[in-house]
Order: sequence, then C-alpha cells, then structure tokens
Amino acid sequence: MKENIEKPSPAKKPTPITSIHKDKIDQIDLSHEVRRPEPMTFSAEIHALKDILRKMETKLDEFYEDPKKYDRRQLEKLILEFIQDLKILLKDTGYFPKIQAALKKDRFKLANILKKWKVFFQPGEVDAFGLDRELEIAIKPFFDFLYFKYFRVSVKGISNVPSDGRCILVANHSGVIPWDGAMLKVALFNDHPAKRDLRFLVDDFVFHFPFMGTLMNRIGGVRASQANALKLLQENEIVSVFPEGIKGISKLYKNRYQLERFGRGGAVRLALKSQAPIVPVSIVGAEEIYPLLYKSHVLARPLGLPFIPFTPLFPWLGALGTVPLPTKWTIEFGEPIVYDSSHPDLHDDIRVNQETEKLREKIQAMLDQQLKDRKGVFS
Amino acid sequence: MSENTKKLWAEKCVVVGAHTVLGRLLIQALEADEDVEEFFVIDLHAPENSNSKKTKFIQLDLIAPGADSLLASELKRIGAKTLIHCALKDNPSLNWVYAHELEVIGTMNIVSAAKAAKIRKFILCSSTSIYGASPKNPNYILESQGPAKSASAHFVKDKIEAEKQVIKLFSEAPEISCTVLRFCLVVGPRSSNYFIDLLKRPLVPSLLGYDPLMQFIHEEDALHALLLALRSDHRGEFNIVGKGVIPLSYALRLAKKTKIPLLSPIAYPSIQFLWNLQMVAVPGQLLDYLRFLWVADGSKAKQIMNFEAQKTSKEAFLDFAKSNREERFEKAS
Repeated sequence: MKENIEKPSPAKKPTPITSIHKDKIDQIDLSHEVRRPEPMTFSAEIHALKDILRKMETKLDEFYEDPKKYDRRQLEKLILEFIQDLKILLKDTGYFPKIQAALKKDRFKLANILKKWKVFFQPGEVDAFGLDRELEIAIKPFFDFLYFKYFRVSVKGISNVPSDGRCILVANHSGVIPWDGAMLKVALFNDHPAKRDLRFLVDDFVFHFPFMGTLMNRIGGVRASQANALKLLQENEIVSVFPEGIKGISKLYKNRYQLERFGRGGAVRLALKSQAPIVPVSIVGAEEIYPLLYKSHVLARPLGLPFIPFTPLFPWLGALGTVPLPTKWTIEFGEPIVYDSSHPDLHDDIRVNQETEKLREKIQAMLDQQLKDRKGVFS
Repeated sequence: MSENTKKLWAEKCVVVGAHTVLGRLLIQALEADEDVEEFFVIDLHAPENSNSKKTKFIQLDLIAPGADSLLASELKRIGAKTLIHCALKDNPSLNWVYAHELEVIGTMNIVSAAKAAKIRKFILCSSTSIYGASPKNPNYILESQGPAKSASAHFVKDKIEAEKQVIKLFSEAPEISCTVLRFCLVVGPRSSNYFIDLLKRPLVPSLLGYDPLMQFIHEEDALHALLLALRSDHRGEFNIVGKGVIPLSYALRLAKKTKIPLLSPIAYPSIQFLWNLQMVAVPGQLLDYLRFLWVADGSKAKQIMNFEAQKTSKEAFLDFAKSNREERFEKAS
C-alpha cells in the first residue's frame, strides 16, 4: 500500500466512484486559502480503498450467510487497514487539517451550541400522556452518568419484570429529591433485555409548581390517580408506584429503611382491577443521599411545599447542598405477585388492606436482607 | 319505509343560535343536505350568507320576558321535532351580565319551551371547558366526572349552569331523547373562539413554567359529530375531541407566535386588567386553561356514537395556523 502512495500511477482512469469521492471531499472544503491539490494524483489510493471496501463487503456477506464460520480477525484487519489508508490519504491531500478546523469552528459557533440545547427551549411532539422522546434522549447521558458512575447501581432479579405486557412496580421511596424513581426508569431501560419504558406516578402537589410539573410530565411522569394508572396499564405499560408517597421521602435519617404506611391500598386495588402482576422492588442506598436531620412543616407552608429539609449540607451550602452523596445503590426486583382476580371484590377493603400489608412486609424483608448483605454505604 | 326512517331525522329541525361556530357550520351543512326539505333558525339576528329557501328564520329574543311561552307556541306552530341548542357563547364577553342572561336564562327558556312543545329530541352543544382546568384532573377526563365544582370564570360558570338545566331533562322528561355534546376547542379556517382570538395576535401571553397538553378538534370533525347525533338518537353526555394532544408551547411554535411568559402571580391581575381594557382576548380567570390539564377522553363517543375524529389535534391546529397566515398575508398586501 505504501508503495502506491509513494509512486502514484496516474495512468489508471478514474471510475465514477472516484469522482463521487472527490465531490464529497470538495464539499468538506470550506476555506479557499489552501491550495487545492491536483485532482488526478490520488486516484490510485482511492482505488485501493475501494478494493478494501469491496473485500469488507464480501466478508460481511459471508458473515450474513453463515455467522458461525465467519472470521472476525480477518474483518477487523481489513477495517484497520481501511482506516489507516483513509487517514493517510486525507493527510496527504491536505483535507484532514481542514476538516479538523471546520469541526472546531462549528463546535464554538453560538448557533450550533443553541441547536444542541434546542430541545430544552423548543419542545416537540409528545405522546398521549405527555412523554417527549427527544427530551428523554437529550437528558439520558446525565442520568446514565448518575446510574453507572455516581451511584454505581447494581441490579438483582431484573428477569422478574416481564418482557412484554402490563406490570406494576411497587417500591420503597426515599431521598428528599426522589432520584430513586429516575434510577428505576434508567435501570429498566439499561439492564432489562427488552429495554422497557417506565411510567411513574407523580404526586399531585408537583403539578402546582412551575417547571417541575411540566418537566416530570415530559420525561414520563403522570399524575397519580387510579384513572391514569388504569389507562396506562390497559396500554400494557409498566407503571411504578411509591405507595409511601411524601411520607417516604421525608423520612428522618434515624428512621431510614423503616417503611411507612402504604397509602390506602391503591396499588393492590389497581392490580385487582387491571389484572396486572405486582413486582415488589427494594432500593437500598437512596436513603443516605440526603441524610435528613430535621424537617420543618411550618416554614414550608407559605411556599406550598410539603416540608423543608435540613440535611448536613442543605440549606447551609445553598445549591451545593442539593448535590446527593455518592452512595452505592442496589435495586432488587422480587418475585411477581399475581392476585386471584377472578372475582375481584373492590369493596372488600379488609382484603385489600391485608394484601397491602403483606406487600409491605415483603418489601421490608427484602430491604432487611439487602442491608445485611451490604458491605458499606459508599462501597 | 326505509326512506321514511332515513329522512325522519331531517324533519322539522330547529337550530337555536345562528352566530356561533357550530350554529354557522350546522346551518351551512343543513342547507347543503338533500335530505332536508326545510329547517328553522331561531336567533335575534338573521343568519349571514344564507340565501337558501330551505332556511326559515324566526326572530326571537331568548331573554325577553315571556320568551319561553312565545318560543313554546312557535315550536308548536311549526311542529318542531328536533331542537339543536348552539346558542352558548364561543367567546368570553366583557358584558358578563348579558352573557349570563343569554346562557343561563336563555337555556332555561329553551328547555321549558321544549318540554311544553313535546319535541322528540334535544341536542346541546356544550364544551369540555366545563370540567375546569386543574392539576387534580386525570390525563383523560371521563364524562362521568361532571362539571367543575368551583369555577371562577363567568364564561365557564354560565356554561355549567346551562348544562345542568339540560341534564335535568334526563329525569324530568324521559320521552325527550337528550344529547349533550361536549366539544373541545374547535379550530379551523371558519371557526373562532377565545383561544383562537388569543392566537390571532402575534404576541401570546403564557405562564412561565407551565406547558399544558392541549386538545383541538377540526371543525369538519365537530360538524360530523353533530350530524351523527342528529341522525340517530344517543342519549347522554359525550366528549367530542380530536385524536392526540400537543403541548401548548409546541402549538404556539407551529403557529409561529411569540409567547410572553409571565410569572403566574403577576399574570392573573395584569391579564385581567388588560381584559378590562379589551387588549387581550381572555379574562384573567381563564388563564387556568393555559396552565393546567383539561384534556377529555373521547372513547365513549367512539363506542356509542361510533364517532372518531379524522384529524389529530396537531393536524387540526396546523389547518387553522395556515389559514390564519393566509388571512394576515391578505391583510398586509
């Protein structure tokens, strides 16, 4: 190959494909200061590249026909060769620095920066419940960082979540800012083989506030009500329920991992109505991200908030206090519970309450087991 | 026999209210329909652009004292079979006393006249705004939820009052087949309502940090639903809505409008002030409808009336936005 570069053979006629290549390279050329190289000089190199591409194509065809016999190393070698040659060609023709400069220029253009952030200012289309896919994709890297690098979430028993069909996830709620809901969503997307979507039910009070309610709605949150949850389950979605609600996220540090009362049995009633299985979920690690020392209801009342938290960092450090501590998280999915809903008697409050209490005990047992197995809060 | 039953719906229709969006559309549709031999229009002013011989106009002031007996005798005289009540206002009015008289007292008169004249069928064109916009609403409001308990805007309060009187007919006069159609925002080249009046100006006020999901229905779809209700009897309340939802900000972007985000505590009094000066198209209390959810569920209409909107909310809105741009272009040139 190198010989070819040193001694280009101008005798060969350029095929139509070479001219296409040339056109493309011309398009990249933005500045007119650099002298254009002779157009015919590099046709041999382009030919060589074409040959490699052809070889790669046949190799890929072979792979497509019989995946077992395919030689991975050969293909890798070809790809490396191709990249090397392309690099040399681009360097020799003087286009490589130009592309670099153009890319650099683009990166710092205000219009391009705005284009990247456009999705936050110019919302697009949403689905029937207000989920904006573009926004979801735009903010995913941040939540992936939290999931993989910051909280180092490890997941157990994800196979208990069905690959298709409706399902209710019932989890313990903790942390003053409910990152656990977000992590549950990321876990289902990243670690579940079917990459399932999660719709989380959000408490009413969030929708009274500007920005928060809209943002929650655009990333998949829906106001917590039986009607909404039922409609989502009818469309075979996964719905997550945190039956502890506000009481869960406002637990003091000394009461951590002690489950509160499970609402009014809404989750079980929902399961009976929709015939969806309940998967109990225990999340360990989220209680320690903001160790809540004291909460004030009096100060919160004029703001319309449920409570104002006092942690070792908040409100003393201001916005810095809202940074969660980097604890190590574990999310465990338990065995699905299927209720006998052949004769669902929704008015049988005592049965619903008994089942809810059983569910609470199960999640509490899962939490206790996980806490016993845990090495440390941060490792 | 089959021809007779086919034409039964078209006999002796009475349209009350000729100057609302749906009234206007319905009169045009009835004039064009071959099944209809004649129909009657009751309003204070004659309908515009109607030169068809089919249309028989009866001038009547719905809120004058003794209007109910007058209306009843008129209905008896013409032998009315079907009454379509489209006289609920599309736009909020600064003269809310008159609007209240027209919507509440007018509806009362119409309902009592209909009972006295023993008509066969009563159709009311209401609006989904009666559910009220609230953060406590489910994403899709069912018909069974009923009107909002506490509405602050006169525009909504009067509609709730009017609807309540019609719903009383279910129990008081079971022989009348009574249909209440609740339309979401009707948009299209020929429609106008408060939201569209708001959007016809280049600057649109909005509330900072709130971006509710909005629902629109195209006027053709709305008319189709109204004719379906006219052709066959469907007792009860139905939400008549378009497919899908779009966020308010996206709608404004489609219409190429600039929105002025306002802080919500300031927005309500300032918009109310501007409304009193007639500089904006909505009173302050209606800002709730640009802030919280009020999307209705159309599955009951699909199941029972077999009505499904052909156009999605987005398509309906785009159709409006296009015609609005053309209008402005014509004005400018």
